[in-house]
Amino acid sequence: MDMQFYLMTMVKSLGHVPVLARNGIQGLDVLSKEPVDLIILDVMMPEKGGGLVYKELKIHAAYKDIPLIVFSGVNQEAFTHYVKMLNTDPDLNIPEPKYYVEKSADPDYLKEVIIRCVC
Amino acid sequence: MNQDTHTYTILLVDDEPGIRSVLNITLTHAGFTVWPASSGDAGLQLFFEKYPDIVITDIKMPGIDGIELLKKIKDAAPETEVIMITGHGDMDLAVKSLQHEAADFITKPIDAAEIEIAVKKAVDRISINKNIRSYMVDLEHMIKEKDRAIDESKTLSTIGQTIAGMSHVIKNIAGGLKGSSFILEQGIENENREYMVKGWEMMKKNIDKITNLSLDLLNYAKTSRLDLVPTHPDQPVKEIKPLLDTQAKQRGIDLKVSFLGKEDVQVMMDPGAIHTCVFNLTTNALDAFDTTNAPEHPGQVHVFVQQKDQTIVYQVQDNGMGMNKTIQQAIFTDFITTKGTRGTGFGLMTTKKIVEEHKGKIGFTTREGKGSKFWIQLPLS
Repeated sequence: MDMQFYLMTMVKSLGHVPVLARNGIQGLDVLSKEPVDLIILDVMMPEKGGGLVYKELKIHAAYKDIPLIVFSGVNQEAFTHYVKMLNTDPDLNIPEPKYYVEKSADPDYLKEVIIRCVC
Repeated sequence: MNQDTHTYTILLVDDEPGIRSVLNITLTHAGFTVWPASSGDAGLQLFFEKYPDIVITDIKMPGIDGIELLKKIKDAAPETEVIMITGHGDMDLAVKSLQHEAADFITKPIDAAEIEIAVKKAVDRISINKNIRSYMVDLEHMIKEKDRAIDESKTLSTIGQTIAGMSHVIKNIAGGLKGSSFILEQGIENENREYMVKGWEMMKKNIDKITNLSLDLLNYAKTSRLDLVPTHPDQPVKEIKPLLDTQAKQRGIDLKVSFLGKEDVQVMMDPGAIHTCVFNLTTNALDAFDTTNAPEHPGQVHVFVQQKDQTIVYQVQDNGMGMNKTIQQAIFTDFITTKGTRGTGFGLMTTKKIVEEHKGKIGFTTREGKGSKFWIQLPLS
């Protein structure tokens, strides 16, 4: 909850409009209704886990090129390992996340990454 | 042949004075201390007075014969080398004595060289056995040393895990603090009251969390110096309801405590530490309810104190969410928390450590969506 508010505040402070989805299912629902310029994805969510949402986003032709920041409580190696495990399926070739920000990162760093993604 | 400076001792048992005297002279001359005895009975008595390294005994004697003497000596002191003297054609007896662990046998008429060889062989075996024994002792020492080293490294790796877990918890708190200070800053910059209030609330939560962490760490450290005193099993749970009832009511949970009641029961325990354990399990149970959705059934947490055989059982039962497999596997070892920003993951680890220091057991059963039951079992003193 607090993190959602933090992210929304951050996005607003940069002059953008945040659209909040409380879990993976809502997130995919939002995407199907309105186009977005950036996805910030928490990997630890109730209901549909962020890892699976990441996979769906990356195999979906319409979504795979939308800039995406993984915002996570776990470190990047753990997530990279997860992606590698997904790719053991020969039909999949899911890229590692280009932007990865840990929840404990400095707000200034997160701001920088968002700016990089949307400019 | 091992030439050590030790003077070996020989008990010499024979009822024929001639043989006794010849052997005595030969062996004394060869550097041994010899104690002669004229019968099996006298030999046995002398054996228990002197405990010689080597026994040379005739087989055929009145009273206790050589075989009998051999058995008794091997029973009492199996490391003794016993050499049998047999008459010509007493092969059966010779074989029988070997079966009873005689070291060797020599036949009459006795040849001085033969007896010296037999005794020297016995001496060799004694010194080899002595070496083997000392190697065994050394080995045992080495094994103990290694065990100690392994224990130490286990402790170190536990400390390592503890530190890794702590750093994760602290990192999360730091993340929360950074996020809240960002929101606060935004609030101040834009004179946005909502941001200020929200940022401040978030910061307070993280301050609570770091306070809890320091308390948890303190409790964890305390587990290594428990003060065990005879205590009535109800005592550590007396405070549970008064302390947690308000919190339970706020969440619409009915908290019940059932005491043992019986008067004359005592358990060796640190009542404060056991209180911490039951308190932890109870707060966990109160947290096991999904507060975001309206509950389908009224929440209930029930704490029992019961006597089962030679143990006292503290049981905390809830009808909350239960736990999935992943959580079940990790709860006692990792710093996992299911409580979002509130938990540190230290509570159950501390609880487990305290229970183990009491030589007790801790366990749980759970069903996802139905609830969990945690129990602590302490041995009755």
